[in-house]
Amino acid sequence: MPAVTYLEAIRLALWEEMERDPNVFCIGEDIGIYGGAFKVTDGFIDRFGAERVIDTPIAESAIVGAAYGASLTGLRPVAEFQFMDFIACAFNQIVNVLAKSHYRWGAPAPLVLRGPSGGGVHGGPFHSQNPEMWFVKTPGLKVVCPATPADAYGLMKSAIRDNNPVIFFEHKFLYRRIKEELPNGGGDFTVPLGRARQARAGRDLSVITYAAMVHVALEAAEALAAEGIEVEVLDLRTVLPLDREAIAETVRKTSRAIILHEDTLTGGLAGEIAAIINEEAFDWLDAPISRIAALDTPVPFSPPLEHAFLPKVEDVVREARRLRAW
Amino acid sequence: MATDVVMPQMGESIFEGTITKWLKKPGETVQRDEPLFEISTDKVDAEIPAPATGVLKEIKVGEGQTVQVNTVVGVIDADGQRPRAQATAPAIGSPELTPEAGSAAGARTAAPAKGAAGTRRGAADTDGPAAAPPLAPARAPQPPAPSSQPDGQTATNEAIEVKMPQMGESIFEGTITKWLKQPGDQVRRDEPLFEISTDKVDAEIPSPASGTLAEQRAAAGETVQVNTVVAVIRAAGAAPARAAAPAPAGPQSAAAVTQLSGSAQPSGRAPAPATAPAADGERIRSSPLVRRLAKEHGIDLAQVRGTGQGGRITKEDIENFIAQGPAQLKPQPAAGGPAAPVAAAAGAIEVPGDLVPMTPMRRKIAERMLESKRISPHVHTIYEVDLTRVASLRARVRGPWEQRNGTKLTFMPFIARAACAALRKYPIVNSSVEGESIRYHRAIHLGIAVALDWGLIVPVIRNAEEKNFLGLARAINDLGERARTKRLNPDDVTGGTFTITNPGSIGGLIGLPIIMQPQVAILGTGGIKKQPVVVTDADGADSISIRSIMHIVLGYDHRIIDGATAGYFLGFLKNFLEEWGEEIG
Repeated sequence: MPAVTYLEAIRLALWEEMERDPNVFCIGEDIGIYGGAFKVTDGFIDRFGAERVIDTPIAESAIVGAAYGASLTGLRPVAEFQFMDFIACAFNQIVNVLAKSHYRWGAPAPLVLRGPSGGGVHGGPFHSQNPEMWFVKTPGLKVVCPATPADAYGLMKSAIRDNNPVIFFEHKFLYRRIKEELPNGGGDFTVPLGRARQARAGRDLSVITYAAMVHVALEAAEALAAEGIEVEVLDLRTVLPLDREAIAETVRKTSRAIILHEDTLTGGLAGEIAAIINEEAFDWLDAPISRIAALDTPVPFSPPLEHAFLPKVEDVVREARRLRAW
Repeated sequence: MATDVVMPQMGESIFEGTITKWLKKPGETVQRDEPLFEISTDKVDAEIPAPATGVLKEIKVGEGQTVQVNTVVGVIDADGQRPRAQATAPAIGSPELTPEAGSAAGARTAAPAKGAAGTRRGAADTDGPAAAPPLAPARAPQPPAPSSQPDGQTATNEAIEVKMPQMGESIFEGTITKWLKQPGDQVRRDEPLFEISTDKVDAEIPSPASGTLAEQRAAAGETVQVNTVVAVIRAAGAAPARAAAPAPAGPQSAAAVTQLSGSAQPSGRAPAPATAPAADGERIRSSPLVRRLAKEHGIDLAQVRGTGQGGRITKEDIENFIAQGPAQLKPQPAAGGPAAPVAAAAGAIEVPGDLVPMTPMRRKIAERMLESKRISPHVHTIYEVDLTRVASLRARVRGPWEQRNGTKLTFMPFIARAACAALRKYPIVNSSVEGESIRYHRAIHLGIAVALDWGLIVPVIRNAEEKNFLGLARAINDLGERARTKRLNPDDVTGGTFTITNPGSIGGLIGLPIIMQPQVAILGTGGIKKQPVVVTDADGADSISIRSIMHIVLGYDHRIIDGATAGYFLGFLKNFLEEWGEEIG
């Protein structure tokens, strides 16, 4: 099987799940005839029909409300947001209705909310955000942020099959930039929710990260290896629930930790992970925990400013050297 | 036993309710589940049934009052129990647990809050919110019920909480500096229980009740918010067996110092000259990992050479040390032979001596002094004052004066009175700088520095300009006494507009004091000494005379007070004292 892009992997997983289970359907703005803003569902309407590939008005709250209602009847909707920035329009439906469904009524809500997030594409403040923490703060949801085509494929399948609401943050910078051959020779496989993945092994320092920043970390690790600093990269993949064991394990191994994310620093996931390290691996720490994240501002539109705003390979290299020498 | 009656939660989003009517009066008998009172909430009106059978002992919330859900609104004394005050219901431990066996109320409260059927009748006329209102009694916090109570001894074991008091409007926390009683000790009401230190004052806190100190919840050195429970007192007459029970956070006052003064190293070993200086008292820089490994391998970190930043012992350092084997781990005997080649701490900077944290008061003083030196360019002008007239007046009248007025006659009221007069004459000295303006204070709030064994504090005499000599004398003595016995209120130490300090009381000739911000000047008085002085009489003839001489110094903010002004001020003060003409009462 040829290598597939991150976007193709998502598309493939969706397609196969719709083939496999007639309860799965897609709903969103311009996903049918137009094929989606990023063409993830291009051609779906021809194969599955307008009843399973539903175009909606521009009303995110209504999309989520309709998807939730459908999920209560046993269907498995996959709702698309053109940009995850606009998930805020459906905030109440998600945090007060979906997240509480099981806890309040014992009613499973097996739906997936998916869409592109992240910066690096000069999309400006409305089309570049990483709003995962709004939902990581909300018990009752699962939040997924894959970094590779294989994980995007396997996690999408797990998300669709899961009986809880799953928010699936695709990274638009990765959509067509990375490519890999899927394992299992093109056969069906899943990646479990809530499990991190060791993206690179190393002994001197751990970079704990997810989504597009995994690739920044790997590039930094390559540069640092030339200096004799062996970096381990942990790709969280799911950010709610967090894989506490994997976080503890890598820190216990290397005794130094950098937490890296593209979301802004304050209130970002790094603080939470630092707390987990403190709770699980304090006695293994040989240096302070370091956080690298985007600046605490909206995402700038100007390309040089956006470049300055986003965490970069050189940030990781600099912090790694500092911790190594500490 | 007494059962609290609480405002029930009538629905998820309802947080308060109004009592519209009590259906029983205090003293009346009620049956369990008999309607006891009527309430009105945002969503429903309801009759609330009694949670237990007994006598309605007390109504705490009257008709028409609105209270939060779970507020205790009344107390029922269960059948067959003698009445007993149970005012402070959820005193210790977690509420909601420990059902009292055998009592109807207990059995009921043991049921989980949700779905307690049979408690719904009061809500019969709801207009139908979906969620069944979990009713009051199911949540009633229980009076403390010690699980290990031997037998029937339920009487008089009332627990009284001792809280960190609010020492002033703007004070939100305090540090417990010392416990004067330990768990198990008897305390009398109003007897000092512990000492605290806040931003503004130090104080001894009296016990709110007589009894046994059952528990200290905050250790000495701990800083806690106002109203935090710091201790529990078992009221007098409580079963003594229990006094010793829950005493976590024991006395730790010495802990901080002990910990800092290093690991208990066997002192038997002679210090090997070649080793790094025994770092007692010095915190060795390492990391959590290094300290864990050192503990596991029984390594004294003072023996390990650190190669990290600032001589920090890194993971590699300790791993190498361990790898070099047990020979490294044992200090070599220093006797005779060549000094053992123990790694000398090359990079580490070792400072011998005990490291003791500053008290909150000391930290505050440090901060204030530094701040003042930074804000105000200080200049000091010194004058010599002939106090002979005042000294002889004082010597002459002191005995009867003190008897008449019941307070001490010192030199300080003379100086304070003279200072008030001088401040009236030169108001710039009684001012503050506000941005690019000068605030001339209408009143003189006179600070008098009081040296304490544990630091220094400056209580303030308010409106000193309105007081006569006797009033000043009384105020000075009162504030000094209360400062030394830690009975000052925060208001006593704020708002000064000018300060007098008296380094002379210790014996110094003179000292150069630092201004108390935001004031602009401070008067220092030196020791009074008899000196031979050249005196010129009215005819211009000189003679040498023995006079009582004191030096006075004005420290002032040169931004707004010039040397000439300071000179005039001091000259006026000097004159006022040398030619003292006021009645002293």
